[in-house]
Amino acid sequence: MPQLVLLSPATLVGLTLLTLPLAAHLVSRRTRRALTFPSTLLLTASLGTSTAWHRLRDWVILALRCAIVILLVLGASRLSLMTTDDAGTESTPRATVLMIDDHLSTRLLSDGKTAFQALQTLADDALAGHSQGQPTAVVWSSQRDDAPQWSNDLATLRQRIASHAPTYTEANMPASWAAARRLLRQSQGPGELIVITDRTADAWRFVSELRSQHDLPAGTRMTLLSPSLPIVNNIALSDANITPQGGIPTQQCNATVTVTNESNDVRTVAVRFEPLNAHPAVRTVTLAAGSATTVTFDFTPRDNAAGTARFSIDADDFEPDNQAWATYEANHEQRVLVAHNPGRAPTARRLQLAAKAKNEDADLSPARTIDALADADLSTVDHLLLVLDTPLPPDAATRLHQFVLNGGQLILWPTGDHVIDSARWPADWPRAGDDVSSERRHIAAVDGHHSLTRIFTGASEAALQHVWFDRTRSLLFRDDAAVPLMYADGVAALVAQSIGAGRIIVVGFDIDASTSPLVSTGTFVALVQQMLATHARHAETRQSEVGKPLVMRVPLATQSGTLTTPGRTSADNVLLTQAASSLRVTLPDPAHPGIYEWQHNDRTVTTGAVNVPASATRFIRLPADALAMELRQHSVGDSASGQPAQRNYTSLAGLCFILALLCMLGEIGISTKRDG
Amino acid sequence: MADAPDILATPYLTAADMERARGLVFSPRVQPVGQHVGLHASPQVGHAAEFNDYRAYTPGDNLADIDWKVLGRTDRLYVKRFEHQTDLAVTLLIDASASMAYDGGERARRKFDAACRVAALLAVVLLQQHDRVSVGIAQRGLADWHQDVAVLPRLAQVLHALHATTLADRAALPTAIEAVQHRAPARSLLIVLSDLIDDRAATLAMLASHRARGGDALLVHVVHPHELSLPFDRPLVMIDSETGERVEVDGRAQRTRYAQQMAAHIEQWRSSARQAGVDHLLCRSDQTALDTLDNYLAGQRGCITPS
Repeated sequence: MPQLVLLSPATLVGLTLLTLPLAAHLVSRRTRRALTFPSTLLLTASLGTSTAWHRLRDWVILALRCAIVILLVLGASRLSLMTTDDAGTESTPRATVLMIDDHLSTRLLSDGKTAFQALQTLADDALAGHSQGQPTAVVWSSQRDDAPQWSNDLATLRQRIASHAPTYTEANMPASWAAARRLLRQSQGPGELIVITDRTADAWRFVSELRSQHDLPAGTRMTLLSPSLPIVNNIALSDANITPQGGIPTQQCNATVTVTNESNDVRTVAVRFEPLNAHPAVRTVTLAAGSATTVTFDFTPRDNAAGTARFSIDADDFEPDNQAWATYEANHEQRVLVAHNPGRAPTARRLQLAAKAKNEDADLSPARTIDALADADLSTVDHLLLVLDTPLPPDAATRLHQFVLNGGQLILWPTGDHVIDSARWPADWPRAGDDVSSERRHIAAVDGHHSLTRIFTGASEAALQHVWFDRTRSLLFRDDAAVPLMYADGVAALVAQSIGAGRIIVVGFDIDASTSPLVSTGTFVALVQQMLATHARHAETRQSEVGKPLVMRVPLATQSGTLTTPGRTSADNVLLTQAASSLRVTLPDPAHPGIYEWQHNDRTVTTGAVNVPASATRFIRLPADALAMELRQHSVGDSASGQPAQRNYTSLAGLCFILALLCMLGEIGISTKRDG
Repeated sequence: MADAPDILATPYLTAADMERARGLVFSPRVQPVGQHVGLHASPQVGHAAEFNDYRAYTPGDNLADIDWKVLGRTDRLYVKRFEHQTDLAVTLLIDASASMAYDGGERARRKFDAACRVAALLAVVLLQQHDRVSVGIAQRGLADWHQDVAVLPRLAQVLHALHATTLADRAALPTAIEAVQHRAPARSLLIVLSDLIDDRAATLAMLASHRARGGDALLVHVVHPHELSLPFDRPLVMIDSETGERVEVDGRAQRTRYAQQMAAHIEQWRSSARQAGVDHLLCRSDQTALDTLDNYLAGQRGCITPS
C-alpha cells in the first residue's frame, strides 16, 4: 500500500494558501440585500433547484477551489509515494558506497589511537554485515584523481581499508562527494551511502547538498557513522602566566598563554589579552588540528598595584568556551640606591644643618658622592641611580662594573662634562659622545616614553605637561644596546644595555630649568626619590643621597588559571541519550550544530560542535533511518525500477498540475453553463 | 379646448399625449348596442343617414322604409335598410395590487403608473369619440368604480383618484371582472390593465364569458423591464410583494433561466387569451403610452386606425 509522504515546507505554504479560497468563500457569503419583487413565482421556477442546493453548490465550488490549491501545492512540494519496497525489508542487497574520512582531523589521538583508526574500525564493522558479492565501493575523502570502482570482493575491500595509509591532508570533500554520487548513480537500483567521518557537521551539510541534487536513484539510503572523539572544547586556553622583566620604577611584563586547538580542523582564532592596568592586545594564530602554541604579550602595568589580566578567544564560528587569567602582584621588594652630588640637591641645606649641629663643616663637594658610594654595600642593592658631575675614580668604576655583572641595574646620569669619558668605562660600555647644542625639544619616543612620564605623574601632572628636555649630550653605544627613549630625529636619549647579569642605563638629557620647576639635576633626583618613595608607599624612606637603599614593591609573582563560562549553552536542540552500550545523538537540524553541555570526568564541559564527546561507549551510530527519510522524500513510485527520482517527480507534479487544470476548467464550465 | 388645462394637470397625461390622441380612432371588433348616437356601427338597424341595403318588403315592415322610387321603376316593394351608429361602452379595469407598485428604483417606471397612463390615453381617445368610459380598480375584487366618464373634467377627477390609490394586496381579477360584468353593458369593451399575476384560467374564463355575452376584451399586460431580464448581478433575497415569500436569488446565475420562464409566462397569457378571443397587449413600464398603443395598432385588425 503506497504511503503519502508530505515532508516539504511547501506543504505548510499550501496550507496557508488554503485560506485564500476559504476567504473568498466567506466574502462571497456576505449578507444579501433584500428586494421586494412583484412575484417570486417565476424566480422559484427559474431556480430549478432548492436554495439548499444553491448553498451546496457554493460548497462544491469551495471544495473545487481548495482542491486546486492542494493539487498545485502537492505538485510543487514533490509529493512522494513510498512503496512498501522502500519502507520494508529488501530482498536484494544494496550496492554500497563507503565514504571514509581520512583528512587532517583524523590524525587526532585519543586513547592512543588516531581518529582514523577508529574510522577504520567503523568501516570494517559496516562491511561485516555485507554479503559476499554485494557491490561495494570505497571513497576516501582525500581522494582526488583515481576514480573509485565497484568491487564484489569484500575481503579485498576490508584489507584495503585496513591497510590504507592516510595522507592527513586537507580534505577534498566536494570531489569525494561527487565520486560517491557518481557511483550511486551508476548502481542498478537504490543503493546505500555510508559516510564514516569524524566531522559529522560537514557530513550533514553535504547530505543537505546531496539532497538538493535530486539525481540519486529512488530509495537510496544514507547512513552516517561517527566515532566518539574526546573533543572537549574546540579551542582551549591554558598555562597563562605573567613574568616581570624588570625596570625602575615600573616593570616590563611578559604575558604568555598556551592555545590548544582541540577540534579536528584547522582553526584561526584571535587571542585577546586584557590586562587590568594596561592596554589590551590581540594576537591572531592559526592552529592545525590538535596543535598548541604559546602566545606572548608584552605590557607595562600602569602602576605597581596588583592586577588581573584576562585571556580570551575571539573565534569566527563559535562562542569561546573558556578564558584564561593571570594576576600580577607588587609583592617583590627591590632596593634602589640613589647617589648624587648633595651640593646641588635640595637636601644640601639639611646636610649643612646636620653638620652645623655637630659643629662640623658640611662636605657638599661632588667627591662626597664618590666617597659615599665607596662606603655603600652594593651587594644589597638591586638598582643604583648615580648622578655624576665629577669623573668616576677607577676603583669606583670597577665596583660598578662588578655590580652590573652581578645582576645589578645601574642608571647612570652624567651631568658634568666628560664624565663618562674620564670614568674609565670598559670599552663596551655606553659613553657620551660630542656635546650637542642645548637644543630644546620634546622627547618624542614612544617605546619607553610611557615609563618615563609615569615618573612624573605622582609629582605634578600639570608641570609635566610643560617640561622640556635639553639635549645635553649624545650617547655612544653598541648596536646591541636598546634605546628605550629617543629624540624625534632618532638620537638616543636613553640607552639600555645588558652587561653580564645586569643592565646599565645611560641618561642623555637634562631638564630645562626655564620651562620647568625642576630646576636642576639635583631637583630631578629628588623628584625621582619622591616618586620611588610614593610607589614604594614608604614616605619615610625619603633619602637625599647615598644611604640606605629605598625599598619598593614591584610585580613579580603571578597566578594563573582558566575560566569556564557556565550556563551559556542549552540542550534544546540536541538530544543526548545515554544508553548502556551506545550514545545516540539526535540533532533536529543537523545543518546547524548544537551547543550543549555534558559531564566528563566529573566536570561540566561545554561543546560547541556536533562532535560527540567521549563516553563509555565506543561508537556513536546515528539513526540511519533519519537520513533515509531524507531521501525517501524524493523517491517516487516503484524504487525497483531504478529510474531517477527526478523523472518521477516530474511525472507526478505534472499529474497534479493536470488535475488542477481540469478542476479549474470544470469550475469554469460550471460558471459558463450557469451564466448561459 | 376649455378642458385641456384640467386634464393636463393630471399625472398621467401630457400635452403630447393629448395632441397625439386627436389623431386616433378606436373601433371595437364588436358592434356595440349603445344608448347614444356614436361613431360605431350597431347591430341595430335604425334610421340614420347611412344606407346599407335593400330587402324585399314583408308584411309588418315600416311603410316609411319603402323605397317608393324603386316601386315606381320596378313595381316591386322594397324597403331600405340603414346602418345604426351608436356609442361604445368601455370599461378600464386597472390592477391596483401590491405587485403593480414595483418601480425598480425609478418612480417613473412604476407599473401602476404605466397602466394608468395607457388607460388615460385610451380614455381621452374614447371620449373624443363620444364613447362612455367606466373605470374600475381591481384590488381584492372590484375595489372602486367610476361609471360613465363622458367628459374630460370628469376623467381628470378619475385620474387624480387613481393617482391617490394605495397599492396593496392582490388584484383578484376574476372577481373584479365578474363585478364589472354586473355593471357594464353586455356589448361593451373591457380593457384589463394588469401585470396578470393572478389565476390565468379563471381570469380568461371570465373574459371568455364576457365575450360570450357579445362584449370584447383587451388584456394590457404591464411588466417592468426588471421582470423581463432580471438585471441583478449580486445575490439577493427577493420578497414576493403579494405573498411575502422570500427567495434567495443569484441574478447572474438565474438570469437566463428566468428570462426564459418569463417569456414563456407571457406567451402562455398571449396564447390563452387568443384562444379566448381576447387581445393581448404587452406594456413595458418604461415605454410611453403612445408607444404601447402604436405597437398595439400595428397588430390590430384596423380597429384602431390613425385618422
